[in-house]
Amino acid sequence: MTDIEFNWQQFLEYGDEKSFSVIYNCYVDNMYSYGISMGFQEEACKDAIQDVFYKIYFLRGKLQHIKNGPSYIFRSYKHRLLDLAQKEHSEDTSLSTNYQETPFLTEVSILDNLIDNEEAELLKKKVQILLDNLTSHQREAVYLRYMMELEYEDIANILNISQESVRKLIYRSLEKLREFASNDNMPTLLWIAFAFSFHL
Amino acid sequence: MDDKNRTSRNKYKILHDEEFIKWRLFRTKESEEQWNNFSAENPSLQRSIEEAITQFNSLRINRRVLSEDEKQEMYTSILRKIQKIRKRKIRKIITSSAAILLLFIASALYVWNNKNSGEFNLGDNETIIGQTLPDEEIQLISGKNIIPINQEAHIGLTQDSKALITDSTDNKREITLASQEINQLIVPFGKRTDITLSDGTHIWLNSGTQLDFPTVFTGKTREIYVYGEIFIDVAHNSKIPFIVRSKEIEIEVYGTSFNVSAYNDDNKKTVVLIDGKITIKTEGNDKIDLFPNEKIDIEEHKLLKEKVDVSEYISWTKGVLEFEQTPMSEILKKIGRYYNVRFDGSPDIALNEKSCSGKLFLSNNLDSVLTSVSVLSSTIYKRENNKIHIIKK
Repeated sequence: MTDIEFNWQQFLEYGDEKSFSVIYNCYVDNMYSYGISMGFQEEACKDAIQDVFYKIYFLRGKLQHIKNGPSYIFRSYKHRLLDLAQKEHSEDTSLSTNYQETPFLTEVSILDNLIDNEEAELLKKKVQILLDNLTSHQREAVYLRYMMELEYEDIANILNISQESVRKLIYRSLEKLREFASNDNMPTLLWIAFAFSFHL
Repeated sequence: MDDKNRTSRNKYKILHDEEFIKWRLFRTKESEEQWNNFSAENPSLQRSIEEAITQFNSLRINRRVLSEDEKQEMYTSILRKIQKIRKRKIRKIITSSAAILLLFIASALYVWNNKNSGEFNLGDNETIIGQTLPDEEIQLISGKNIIPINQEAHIGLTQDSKALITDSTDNKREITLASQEINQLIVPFGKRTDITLSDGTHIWLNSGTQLDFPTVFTGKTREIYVYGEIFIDVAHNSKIPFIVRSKEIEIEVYGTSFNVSAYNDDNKKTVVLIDGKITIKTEGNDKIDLFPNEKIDIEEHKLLKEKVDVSEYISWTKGVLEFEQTPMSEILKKIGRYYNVRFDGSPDIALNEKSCSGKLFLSNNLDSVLTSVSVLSSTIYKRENNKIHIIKK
């Protein structure tokens, strides 16, 4: 059992405030970045985060069957953000753009000094190009997978599509990337060539 | 080429390999298997792969972090919100476990009799005339101390003989009460307040009400004395019964039941039960059970029980008055109590018979409330200083 699973269970069972704060501290940054990534304003993200946490605090009794805390938290959070946006949208009729049309943008960065600068820049560029070639939906899925370390099942929940669709989404994006890599003259080692070179 | 160099060069190749990047980004089951196999088949590359993974892990997508201060601030505000709601919940839990009773005693204090109507202008048949009365303060009397209390302040008694008074701006004042004495809380017309007794029982006092209560409950019963109108949420304690006494009325609460054992037939008394069960005993030893959503009127030895919508009777605690086909005279009586206005109650005026339905928000502004009434009842409202005129259109 991971630390978070333990705390989630502890919180559900006893309403333990320490566990509650562990969960909060574990997800607050991720939730914030996720909200910003979806194109929401900073204040809206902060409001939605608070709403989600006090909601789970009070729904504790009804959440006993939810084994997967993170999945529930991110799903609630996304819904809350969409609700808030909808509300604002309906209040301000001058807004003609639909919040759902905001594309999921990705920006790659590399932390600390584990990699030397030149290498880091190269990796950054490669990943950025890969992501830029995905659809908005695919980017969101990859983001949730990589940054939030969520399982495909959770991602399906959050994106509100079936698990099968997520798999398709991912495989289609993998295919797309392969296609893109072979069409473009991006310096790359294909899997076979790569494996081969090391066998030598 | 030494080992270190080779490992580093291989790591470089791996880290920038397209398939490796996809594996780390997507982490599909298949890629996971492929790479595990690959790593198992190439033990010499294991270190390079591990290093590549470690370095790749420093990659972030859309990294945004909140400052520690921001996080803390948000967390505090979550907890504050929780506290607020929790308080409301606790009240609800008490509501469901113990009995709640609305005691409305139309005592002499309350009767807007017509006997002295000669003092006021009756007006013509088309106009109701009212008069605003001077403002008085809510007082808490304990021993020889008389403590003035602000409107909208909450009084909370502690188990160690103290009263904590919190006003609307959250200012707190602590007062030590005379421990052996019975205290009095007097709410004049036009004012309201609420108090939590030392056992946790919560009482809302409507305008024109007096409550006598001990600093701390001792002995085998918990007893309070009331004139006027209260809404009481009794803290559950089956071992120590709660007794509400009034001039000629006594309501005894055992767990979830009430007994009214004495009343005076001069006054009309009304008891409405929201939750729990009470038994009302009349002078002649008749016993009547009252169930939730039931109201009983006791007047001149006559008992009249009926099903009611309780919200109409408790809405004043939330600053709202609800009416359902209520005659004008009754509405004005309630507003009069709330705002300390005296309306001439001549039953002969046809306008008094006019009934209306609706919700009235009791703001601090009497004018806006009476304007709402005039809209509801299709009348005209006029005010000159302390004189109020409600005129038929």
